[in-house]
Amino acid sequence: MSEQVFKDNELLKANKSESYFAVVRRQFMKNKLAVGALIVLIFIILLCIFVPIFSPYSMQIFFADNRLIPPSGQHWLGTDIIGRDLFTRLFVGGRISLGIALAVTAITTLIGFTLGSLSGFYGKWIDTIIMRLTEVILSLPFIMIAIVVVALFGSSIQVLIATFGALMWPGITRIIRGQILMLREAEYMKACEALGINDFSRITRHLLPNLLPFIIVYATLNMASVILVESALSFLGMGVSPPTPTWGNLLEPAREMIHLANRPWLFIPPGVMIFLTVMCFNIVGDGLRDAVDPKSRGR
Amino acid sequence: MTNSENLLEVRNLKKHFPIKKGALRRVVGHVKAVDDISFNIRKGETLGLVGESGCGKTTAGRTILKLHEPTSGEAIFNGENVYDKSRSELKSLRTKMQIIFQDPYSSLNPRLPVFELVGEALREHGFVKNNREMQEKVIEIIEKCGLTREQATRYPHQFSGGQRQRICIARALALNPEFIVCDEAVSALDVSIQSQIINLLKDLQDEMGLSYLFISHDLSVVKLISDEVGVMYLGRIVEMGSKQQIFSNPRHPYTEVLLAAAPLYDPRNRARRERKLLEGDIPSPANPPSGCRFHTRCIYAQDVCKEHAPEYREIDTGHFAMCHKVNGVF
Repeated sequence: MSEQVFKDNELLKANKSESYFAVVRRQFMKNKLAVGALIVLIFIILLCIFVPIFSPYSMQIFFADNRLIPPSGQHWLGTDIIGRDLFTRLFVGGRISLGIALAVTAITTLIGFTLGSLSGFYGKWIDTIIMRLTEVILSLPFIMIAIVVVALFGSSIQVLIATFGALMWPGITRIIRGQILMLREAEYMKACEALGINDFSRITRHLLPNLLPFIIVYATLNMASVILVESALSFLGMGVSPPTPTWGNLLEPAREMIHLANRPWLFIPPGVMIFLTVMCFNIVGDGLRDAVDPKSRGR
Repeated sequence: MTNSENLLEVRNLKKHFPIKKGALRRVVGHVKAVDDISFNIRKGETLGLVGESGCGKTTAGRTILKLHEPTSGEAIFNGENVYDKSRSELKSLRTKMQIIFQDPYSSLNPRLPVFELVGEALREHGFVKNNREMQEKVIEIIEKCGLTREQATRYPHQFSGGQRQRICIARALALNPEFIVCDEAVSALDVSIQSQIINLLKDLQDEMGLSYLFISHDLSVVKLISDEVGVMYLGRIVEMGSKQQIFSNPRHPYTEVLLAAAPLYDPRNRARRERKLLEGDIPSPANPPSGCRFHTRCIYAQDVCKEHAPEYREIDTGHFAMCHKVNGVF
C-alpha cells in the first residue's frame, strides 16, 4: 500500500497529531476567562519585575517633607507616612509576596511529591505513618503556630518561608498519594509490567507525566493561598517586618481609623493587588484543572 | 498428562487475596479468586475461559503471567515454570507471553504516541538498535493490525475504541510472543467491531502460530474463536472440553444454564428453548459454599452436594467435569 521511501523522521514532521500538552493548551485557550486571568497575572508579574528597576525612587529612601502626598503626577500612588513612593513600594512588595509564594509552593510541592509518592507506592506502614502525620499537621491551628514561630525566631522572610513550607505540605501530599494509588492500578501500568518495562521508565515515562498536570494545578492554587496567608500575617504585623514591603504589610495603615477614613491611597492599591493576584491564580488554576481533566474533555 | 505439544500447562494454580481489617490490618480471611485450576493450552490453539463476573477468570489470566503473585501452583511455559524464574529470566520470558486488556481506554498511556506505545518494549528488550529501526518495525506491526502508517504519530485519544484495541494488539505482538492472554479483549467494543477484532486475532493466530487464552463472559464470542473451552465458577474450572463437547453436550448444570442464558439471534428459536435461569447471585469467594460450590444455585442439588466436593473427572475423552450428578454419585 505505502511503498514510498521512508525518510528519517518524515512521519514525525508531517503529523497531524498533537501531544497531550498540546491538547491541554488548546483546551485551556478555549477558556476565555482563564486566558484573561493568565494575561493579567503575567502583567502583574512583569510590573513587579520592572517597576522597581526603572522607578526613579527607592523603596527605602524617604523624605520627611513628602509625607502622605495623595496620588499625583510625581508620585503615581502617592507617598506613605514617612514619605516613600508607594508605587515603587507596591511592586517591590509584590516581588516579596510572589517570591514567598513561589518558594513556599516549591517547598510544599517537593515535600508533597516525595511523601505522597512514598505513601502511594509503598503503602503499608509507610503510608500509615505519613497519613497520620498529615492529619496531625492539618489539625494544627495554622495562624497561631505561625505567630508563635515568628515570635520565637523573628519575622524574617526565611523564617516565614520555612514555617509555611513546614505547615502547608499535607494538602498536596494527599493529592499526589491519591493520584498515585489510582495511576498505579491503571491498566497501562499493568501492561508495562507485562511488557517487562523497567521500573525507572515506568515511573518517569508513565507515572510522572500523568501526575504532572495535577501537580501544576495544585501548585497554582497553592500560590493563591500562600499569598493570602502571608498577607494576613503581615497585616497583623507578624509577617515580614518593615521596612521590607509586602502586599500584606503595605495594608497596615488600614488598621488605623484616621488612615482608613481619610487616605484611601495608602491601602487600596495593595488590597487590589492581593485581590487581583489571588483571583487570577484561582481562575487560572481552575482553568488548568478543567483542561487537564480528561473527563471534562470527552474522548 | 505432560504433552510435548502443550505450550502452557497450568497445574493446581491458586490465587488467594488476603482480606485485611481494622487498624492493625489483620488478615481476617481470603478471597479465593482462583482456587486450584489446571489446564493445558496446545501450540497454535485457543482456550476459551468463560464464567460470570467475579468467577476469577481475569485473576487466572493475570496470575499465569505473574502480574499477580500466585498463592500456589505452577504455570509451565515451554517446559519451564514461570514462577521459578529470576527477575531477569522473567523479563525475557515477558517477550513470549503477552496480554491484551479489556478496556482499550485505560490500557493505553494517554501521554505517548503509537510509536512509543508499541515501540517502547522493542527498545526495552533490545530488539531494535535505533529509533529509525523502531519506527520501521512499529509501522510493520501496526499495518499488520489494520492501522495505517500515518496513524503512528497519533495519540490514543485520537482513536476510536476498536482502533485502540488494535493498538493494544500491536503492542502485544511487537515482541513476537507465542502466547497471548486476551482478557475480555472484545467485551468493551460494539458487536460489529468485535467481529473485526476477532477475525484479526484469528488471522494473526494462523499467520504467527499464536496460542491464546481467551477470557470472556460472552459465549458467542468464545464459540467463534476457541478450540477448547473451560467454564469457571467461583474460582474453579467446573467443566472443560473441546468446543463441540461444551456447546453441543454440556454436562455440568452450570454450563447448561450458562448456555441457556445466552441470547438467541433467531427469534423463531426462542419459543422452543427450555428456560433454565440461574437464580441468585454468585456466592462470595471469601466464603464459598461447602461441598460443591454450585449447590446453592443448582436445580439438581442433593444432600451429598452440600457435604462433599465433587471430583474433577474425565467423563469423555478430553471432556472434564466437576459434578456429583455427572460422576454418577446420584
